[in-house]
Amino acid sequence: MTVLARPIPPLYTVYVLRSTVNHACLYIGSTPNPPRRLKQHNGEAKGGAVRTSRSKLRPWEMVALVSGFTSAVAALKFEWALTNPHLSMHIPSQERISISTQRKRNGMPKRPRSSMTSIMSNIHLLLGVPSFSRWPLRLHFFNADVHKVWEKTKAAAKEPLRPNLPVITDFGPSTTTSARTLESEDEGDAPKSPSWGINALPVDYVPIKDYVAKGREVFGFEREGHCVVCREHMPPGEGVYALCANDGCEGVGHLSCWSRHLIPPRERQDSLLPVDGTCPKCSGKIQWVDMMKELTLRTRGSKEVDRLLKKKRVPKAKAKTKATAEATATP
Amino acid sequence: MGSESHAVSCADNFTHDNSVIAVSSSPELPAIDDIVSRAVNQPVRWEPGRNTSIPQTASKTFLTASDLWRANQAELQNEHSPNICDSATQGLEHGRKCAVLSTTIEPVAPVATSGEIPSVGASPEVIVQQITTKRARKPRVKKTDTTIAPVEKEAPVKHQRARKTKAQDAKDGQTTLPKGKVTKVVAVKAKPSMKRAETVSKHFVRSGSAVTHPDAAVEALDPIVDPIDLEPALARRIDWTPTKDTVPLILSLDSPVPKGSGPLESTEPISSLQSTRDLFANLHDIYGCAGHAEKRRTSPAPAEAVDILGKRKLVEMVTTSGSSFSVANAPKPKAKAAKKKPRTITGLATAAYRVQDPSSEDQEKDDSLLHYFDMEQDTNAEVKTATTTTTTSKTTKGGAKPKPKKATKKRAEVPKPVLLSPATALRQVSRQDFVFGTSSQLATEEDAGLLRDIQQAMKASNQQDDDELDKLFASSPVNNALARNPSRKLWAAGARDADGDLLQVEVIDLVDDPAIPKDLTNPDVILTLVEPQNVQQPLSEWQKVVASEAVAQPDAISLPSSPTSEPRVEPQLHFRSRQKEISASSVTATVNSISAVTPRMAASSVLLTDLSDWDDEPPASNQEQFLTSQAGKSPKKSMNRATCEKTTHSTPDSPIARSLPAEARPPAVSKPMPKFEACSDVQLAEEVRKYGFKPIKRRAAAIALLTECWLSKNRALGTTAALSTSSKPSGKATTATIAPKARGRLKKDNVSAIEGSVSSPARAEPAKKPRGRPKKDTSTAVTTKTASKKVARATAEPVPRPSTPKGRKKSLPARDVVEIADSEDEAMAGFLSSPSPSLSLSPEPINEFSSPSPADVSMTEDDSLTATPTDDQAALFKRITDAVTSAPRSKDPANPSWHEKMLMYDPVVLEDLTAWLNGGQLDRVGWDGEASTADVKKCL
Repeated sequence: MTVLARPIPPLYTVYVLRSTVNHACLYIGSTPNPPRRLKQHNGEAKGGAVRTSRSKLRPWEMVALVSGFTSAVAALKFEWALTNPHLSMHIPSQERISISTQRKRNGMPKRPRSSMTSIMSNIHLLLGVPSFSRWPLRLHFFNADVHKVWEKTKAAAKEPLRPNLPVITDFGPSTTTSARTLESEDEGDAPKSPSWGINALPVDYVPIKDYVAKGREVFGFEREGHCVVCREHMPPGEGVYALCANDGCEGVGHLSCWSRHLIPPRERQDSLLPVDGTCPKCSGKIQWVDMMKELTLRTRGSKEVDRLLKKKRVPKAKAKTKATAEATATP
Repeated sequence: MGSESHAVSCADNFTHDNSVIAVSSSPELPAIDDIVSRAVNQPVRWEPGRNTSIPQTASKTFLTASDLWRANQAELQNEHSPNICDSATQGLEHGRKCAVLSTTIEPVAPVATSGEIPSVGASPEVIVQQITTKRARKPRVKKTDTTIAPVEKEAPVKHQRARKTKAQDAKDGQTTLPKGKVTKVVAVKAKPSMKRAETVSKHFVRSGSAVTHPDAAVEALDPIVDPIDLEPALARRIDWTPTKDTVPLILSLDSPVPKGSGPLESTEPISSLQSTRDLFANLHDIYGCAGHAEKRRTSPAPAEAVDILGKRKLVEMVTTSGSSFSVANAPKPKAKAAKKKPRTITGLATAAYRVQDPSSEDQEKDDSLLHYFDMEQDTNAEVKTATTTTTTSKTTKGGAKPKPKKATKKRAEVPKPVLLSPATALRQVSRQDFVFGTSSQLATEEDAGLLRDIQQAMKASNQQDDDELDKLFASSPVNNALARNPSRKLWAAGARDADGDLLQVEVIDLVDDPAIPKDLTNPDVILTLVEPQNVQQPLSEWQKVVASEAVAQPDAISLPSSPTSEPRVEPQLHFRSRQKEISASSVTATVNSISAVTPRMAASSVLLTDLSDWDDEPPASNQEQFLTSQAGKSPKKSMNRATCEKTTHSTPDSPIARSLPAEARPPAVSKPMPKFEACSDVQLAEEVRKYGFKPIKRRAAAIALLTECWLSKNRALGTTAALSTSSKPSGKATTATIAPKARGRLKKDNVSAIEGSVSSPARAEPAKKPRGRPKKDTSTAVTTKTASKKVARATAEPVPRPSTPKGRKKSLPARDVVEIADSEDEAMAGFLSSPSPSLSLSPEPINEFSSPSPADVSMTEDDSLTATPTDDQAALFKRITDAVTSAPRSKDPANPSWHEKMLMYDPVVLEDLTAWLNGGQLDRVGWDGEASTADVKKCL
């Protein structure tokens, strides 16, 4: 069974939802579009969840999320593991935090009640579990209280978060904007300031637009050249080639060559997935996931690329018309 | 009459009251007349709260020309025909427009026309009136008060009106049926509502004298009604809560009214019969309030049906009837919408016993996924409920058909859900006779006994298969042959020797048979092979030997008492001769040799039987062969063999040899075994020391140990000394481990003692115990319940050390002993002889498997993906990784290789990857086995 492959989604998150009415009511879900999903939970759009449909608990807010999943499948795996930490096989039994002590009527173990602390602990645990440890995930917080809980968990945890793995984890409030807004504003302040929290998350491919465009150029004009790693000639359409992400650098190489390059030899036995490294051509830092995003977009998401790059042309046209208008206007 | 009076009374306060007004007979007309006139004189004012009714004849729909025309026609007809019904129906036709028309027309031109129906030209007025009356129906009906008033005055005529309306209803194809209903009902119910009164009155007003009602009273009423200047009836309020009446009345009154008689049709002349029927109906109506209430209940359906039919009209109308319709139907959907709990198997089955708690309800509301689990696992979970035996039996029968079974069971249960106390329930459960089987078996087989037999047969055959498999794989760890049924007599038939060749019973020369590997590294063995047999030694020497030992075993003397046959003597002699050569080899070796010697020494018959009884395994047959060969074929050789064994004797062997004739094997042989009980403590201590064990303080323990040692010695065959080389250490170790443990626990103390004694020296031997040993020791204590299993466990322990140092030869007999003792439990003394390595190994694996389990329980239960892989698995993972990474790069960007896919973060479908790996990739990287999806998952 071959699933029709889709490019890596620009954003796929697993989020933690908390009721503003009752801070003890929590919900874990996943979505590629957090603001839309939040509206659904709150009833402003159709398609919410049963567990968040109680009007007494609405409105809900997203207090934390993990982003960077490379596919819906991956996110759902993580989400399930986080929702069922008592069952998940990704967690070694010794390290399991949430243990079920009762059984339900159908024989399944009962899920222990989750609190913010338990969720945070489990996130911490799951991020370090071998199954998920090499995923290019990031952790975002949108609420200072929750962040405090996280910090406590981190402090109390036996292992440091993602130790020795050069994986970026933003466990501050997500990227710069929300961090600043959190610190500067009260939580009670209007949470809907234009680009705050989940609204600031890039839900589409725009951040990598340039990269994608570059890739399109390079491959469109068959400028790959030789593999930057093995120096083999790469026939244009015959292989999975990855492109360096840095601006201006057009280092292209075989995918496997790249991976070989980016994984230090000592880790080769343990893992297949590289995480980051430097481009052999331009010596700039690169993230594996970025490259993969572009690669998958290029190979599987041509429509998305078109859509992404199309907008560029419209302003151009407008600019043209403007220019022509100006030209005509100023005789 | 009563009705009339009632009518009169109703009429008295007809302005406020919706009571039924009966048609009054002529004598009462004047009263009615007065009333009517009174009503006329008192214009009724529209008040919002007033229960002004809408004229029955009021049209519920907009007035159309056709209606008007028809109304005209009807009235024209009515003028001529004496049928009040006509007029009534006419009036009702098309929503009583006619009636309204007529009524409205009347007041409009009361003077001008005495029953003359104005032409259609007057229709605008009529229409106006109509509209007003119609509006009067709606809440904002206040405008037309005047029109309403006269209608109300027509209360007395209502009854007849109702009858007429019924007739008209038949014609009222278009009229809203509810309206029709209402009108009918109203008519029947003696005009509880003013609306009806109005309607009736209108009719009568309109028809004037032309109305010929079957009822004389009605007819008489007409002329009375005619002159009444009634205002157009108040529009009926449909949006109010419908009154209780309507429906049943309709039904009851349907019959008398001739159907199909509409205003346009020529109405049959209403016979007096009809009139009487009508009268009856009226009576019924009048007195039938309570009855109507019942009927009402029964006829909501038809009412609904009628309502539904009338929807068309309803829709056309704006809000008036619609609201009532909705009101009428509102309660019904609500009733249906009562929460329907999802019917799960659990719910069905446990409904009788369910304690109402919200949590269970919540569970039912859970995801469909959970429901899925419910279905699946409740069938299993039901087993736990001891309250319903039927439930458990049904569930144990397999989840394949839980639903029908549960349903039937539930039906059976529901009548009397006897809830037993837990103790009672458990008792009931224990009294049950369960038959387990696959669902297909259970489905097809009704006879439980037959099912049981089938299962037993299958089990037996499976065991045999396993045993044969074990023979094939000498070191197969899975065989628990020792623990198995000892009555498998055909072991001998399938006996194989060390080389895997089938042991032929009569053929094997235990001494020189090339198939029997000799431990040529042992100088003693070589010596024995070479050395001529000094077999011929009198028994007396043996006795001397015996006597020479300090230990006096009374029973040892019994040996000489046994019939001395040459073979027996030989070993004794050998034994003696070899004594000097006996080094401080392990007691187990001694035991081995002695046990090999034993058959010869002891009463052959007895021993033979004993040996053969031990087990059906080839070793037994070996022994038999041995003995037979001794007896028959090559005594020398056998003696050689014996000497071979003897060479490994150690001095302590003699007491053992002496003790051989003890009944080490309780069932079969009682002679050989020395009666340790008869020995003194000192003697026991000496024996124990000789075996190499530490001094044991407790007498009973010492005895047990010694018997065990003796037994093990007896059982081990000399011929298999070399064969059991590999299994020696295991034997040693197992016996060693058994020793401390088994004593208190084995069923046969003797056996255990001997085993213990044998094993303890063995224990001393191995310099290094396997790591698992201490664990296994404890685990042996813990895990199994039967002694045999314990022994088996102990015997299995040495499995981890398959390779035997040469010096460990002696451990084989110990192991054999252990194994034999294992089977001892099955009530036979020495079943399992262990010449066949596979057999000897067989108990060990059990041990290995069972013993690690408690200790490593945490490990085995840790089936998380992060559990440390075993070595095998780790190797496999490495192979998988290699396979994936070394696979060639894909040429097609659309079909990346697995490696590339993984690099690209593609979700990996386990099955696909596994299939790919097994389809040749693993071979490419040098792995023969196949990966499973679980392995692949763990690897990833």
